[in-house]
Amino acid sequence: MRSDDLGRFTNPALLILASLAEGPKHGYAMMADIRAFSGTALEPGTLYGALARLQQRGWVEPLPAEDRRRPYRLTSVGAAALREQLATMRQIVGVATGRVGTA
Amino acid sequence: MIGRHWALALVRLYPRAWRRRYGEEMAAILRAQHVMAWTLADLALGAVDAQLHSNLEPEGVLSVGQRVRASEVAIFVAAVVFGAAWLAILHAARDPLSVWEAAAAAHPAMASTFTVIQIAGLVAVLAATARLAVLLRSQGAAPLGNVALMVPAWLALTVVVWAIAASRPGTGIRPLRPVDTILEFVWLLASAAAAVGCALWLAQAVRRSEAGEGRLRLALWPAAGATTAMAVALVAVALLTVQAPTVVGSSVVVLLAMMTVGVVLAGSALRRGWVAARGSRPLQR
Repeated sequence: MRSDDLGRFTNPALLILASLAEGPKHGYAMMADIRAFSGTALEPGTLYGALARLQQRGWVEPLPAEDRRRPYRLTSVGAAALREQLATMRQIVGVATGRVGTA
Repeated sequence: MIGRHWALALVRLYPRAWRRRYGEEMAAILRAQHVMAWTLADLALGAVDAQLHSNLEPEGVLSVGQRVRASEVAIFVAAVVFGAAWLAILHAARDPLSVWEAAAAAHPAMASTFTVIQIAGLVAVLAATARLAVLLRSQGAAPLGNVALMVPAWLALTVVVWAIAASRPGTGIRPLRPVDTILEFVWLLASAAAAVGCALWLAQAVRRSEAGEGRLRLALWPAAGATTAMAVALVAVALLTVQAPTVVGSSVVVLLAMMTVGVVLAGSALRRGWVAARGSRPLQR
């Protein structure tokens, strides 16, 4: 997941992928979960802007609607993209931690 | 409560296809959560983003035919904007024949430029006609009959106004009366109403046409011709403006801006039409 692909939706997209890695969720449940595990309050405009981009890439897919609320789930391609992004972040964290420690 | 009302109103600013897919979900969230000022700003930004990125609309909601048809309608509207500016330039141009002939003899490039403008205009009209003929063929003659009724009435009024214009002071026929001014004003209003009315009606006809994808793709070729002709005419008018500013008048800057808007709109719509016709979606993974 290169940052230039998703523009300002890069971070919201990562949060959505991380939320859906736990299991399918609809929009409101995703917002609550993301707020709980990251402290970030995603608003609907940003949430659905990022969701549309993730769906377009085939990283998440919708499930049948339940009472006007449609759950979404992570696809295998989306899971691979999330793993790749997490690996990059771990590498950044490792390098930065080492540099801070030696500074 | 008022914030929620505004938030739901902002959702209506999203493209129709987007609302069809996400509208109910977004509305459900907005009814369940506390709406703050930032929520409204976020929705407004999201609506602009969705309008600018039509490629994000869920696949299958808009068919290739609908995309090409939307592109055709946009090009047609752009051609109307361009044509209105074009007619205004012709109306505003000070073109006494003797002065024009002397200027053209002294500067052959001016005559050539004017010829290019005329050819480009002719090509644009022919292309627009061909495009509409292709698109409306499947609808039968009924819609064209409405235009056929409007055109003679408008032409008759035009002939009257031209006769009045020819009798203005300086032409040696008779002085201009107040009623002539009123008639000319009515003609200008009627022309504007006819242009806007025809444009809206034809746009609706194209939008509702039952032409298949193959025919719609075919119609993109004359649309490309019309767009090219508009671009050539724009360059030619710009050149004429530089070479002979006194002929085209001071209002030409505004009219050139209108023509530029028309060309940019048509070019952008044509690009979208080609992309849709090819079935390619650049950001699709």
